[in-house]
Amino acid sequence: MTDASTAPATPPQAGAAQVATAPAPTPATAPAVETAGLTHRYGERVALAALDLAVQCGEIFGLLGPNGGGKTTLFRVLSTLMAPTGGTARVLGLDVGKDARAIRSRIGVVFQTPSLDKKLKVIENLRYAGHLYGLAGADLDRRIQELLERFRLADRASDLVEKLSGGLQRRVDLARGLLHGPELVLMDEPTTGLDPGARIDLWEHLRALRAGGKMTLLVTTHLMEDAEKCDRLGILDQGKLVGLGAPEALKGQIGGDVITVGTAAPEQLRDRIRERFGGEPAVVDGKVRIERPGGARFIPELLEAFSGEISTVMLGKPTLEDVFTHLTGHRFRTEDEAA
Amino acid sequence: MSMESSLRLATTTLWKREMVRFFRQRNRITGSLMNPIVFWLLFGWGLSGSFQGAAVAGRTIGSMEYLFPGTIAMIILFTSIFSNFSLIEDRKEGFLQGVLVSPAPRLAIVLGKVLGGASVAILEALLFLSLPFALGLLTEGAFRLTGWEFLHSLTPLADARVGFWTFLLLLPILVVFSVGLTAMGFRLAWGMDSTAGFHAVMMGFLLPMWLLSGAFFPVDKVPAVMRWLMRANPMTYGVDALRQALQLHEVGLVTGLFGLILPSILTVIFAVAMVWASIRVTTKRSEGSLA
Repeated sequence: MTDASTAPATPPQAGAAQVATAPAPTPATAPAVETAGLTHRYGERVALAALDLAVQCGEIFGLLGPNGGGKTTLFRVLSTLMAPTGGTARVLGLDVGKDARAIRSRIGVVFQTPSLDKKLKVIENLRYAGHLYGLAGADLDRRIQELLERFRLADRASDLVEKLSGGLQRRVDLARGLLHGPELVLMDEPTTGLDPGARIDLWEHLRALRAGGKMTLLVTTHLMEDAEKCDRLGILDQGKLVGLGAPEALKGQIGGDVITVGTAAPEQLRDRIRERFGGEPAVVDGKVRIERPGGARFIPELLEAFSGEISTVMLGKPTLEDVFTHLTGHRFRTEDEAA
Repeated sequence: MSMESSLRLATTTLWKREMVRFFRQRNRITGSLMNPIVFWLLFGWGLSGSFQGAAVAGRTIGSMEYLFPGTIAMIILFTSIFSNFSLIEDRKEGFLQGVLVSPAPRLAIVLGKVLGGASVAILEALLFLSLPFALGLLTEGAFRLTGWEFLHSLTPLADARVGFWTFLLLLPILVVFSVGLTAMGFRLAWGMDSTAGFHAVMMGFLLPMWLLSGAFFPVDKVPAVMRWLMRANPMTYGVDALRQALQLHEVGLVTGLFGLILPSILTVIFAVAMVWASIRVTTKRSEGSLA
């Protein structure tokens, strides 16, 4: 778009500011995304509750949360589709409320459903999308060619999008989102509807993107499998950020192992385990859940103490699902049960 | 890139997309062109016995001729409906969200869609106008109506009335009316996420609007309440402008010089208002569902 040298010397005026002036150059150290007290309400329902979050440049940041947890709302706010009802959100140092147009030309947005016209050919979709970003001519053709090759789509360029598989469509859509060389790419549930092979393939592409330069990726997901692959995760539940950190660090918060015990009267058993062994056993989904180091040595003791009452015992390394349960006190729901 | 060139580039590309899509979906031609033609033929012939022809200047205007301008209006309306169905599909299937997060000006979304829809409508209206000539099966009146009588004058049925000029007069009215109706459809379809909802608008609002536009029966021969409804209907003036341009001013709203000018001005105002309303609704950022 514009650079600082073309910006008018006079201070920007309201109204014209969005169009004519170049935003102040962003310091290299500014976070790619930064929110402060970000709040959004749909009528009475609070979708985002005073969210403070910073995504650093150059990382793959995952927003993990159940459906209805607020991540789609956050995604819409950051992609400039929706103005938040409270607090601030800055993308690449620019305010989403005031500088929407400047943000739009510097971010790439890949939605859960591909933003492609299925009745058009792959190449047409990319060309038209390029035009929307102000790209044209030989420069655009060169970029399209590059992306088609990078995503191994060159031989499908003149196929109608509707003839492509879900995985290929997703790749075309990703290419569309990258045409204008965005500094930040927002992706909403990028692996939805993909088979395992296409998922692995997509993640390879995403990691290659991050490795290539200073591109930042922000990915929303409700899949643990995807979340594991992010550099850092923000865990969202009921509009609040309940956890933040690298997947390994988050799992490290849980002391050692997770033991899940099936029984007929979980509340009673929980209380008795607490009396006997201490710690913080909890009832989650009708089962008693215990976090403690050295799980394998602990289980025989547990069985000996309550052999008559225990029907099943499961020992596991903590997963992100356990992290979520640990942080929120309830199970990670993949269905929007609150709605 | 400057605002103007980004607007031009985005508008052109969205317009082009409409055209490419139109030519790839043949069934749209059936829906928006063949249906009105069948309608015209069935009603025109069906009513030809019971239609009280208006005898003017030694000529009787029959039902086929009376319904002709209204059929053009119907073609434009149907084309508008079809192109705005695709607006709803764009929203549902995801194409629109990609446009909304791009730096393309919102104005380009309106202009691309409205000009795209209007181009298709004009194209179909012109096809319809040439139809009686191509079929060669209609009467002298139909030839005259289509604006092709300058060609028709080569045949033994020669008629001295202007043809080419009729056509030139008709074209700007077609353009403005098409823009107005397509923009109205855009305004109605924007924000809708199901085509079923737009079906309801079509049956409950757009078709009655067409019926009450003077396309089907004249304004001055109906009960008072209906007459006011018809006079308040902006489509009435578009249909009337077409009718006047087709030199059917004998059955127009007003006779004389104002006969063409007045409905034309009102049609321009309608188009401007609809485009304005469409631009306004797209620049509002949603707080609820996806904008």
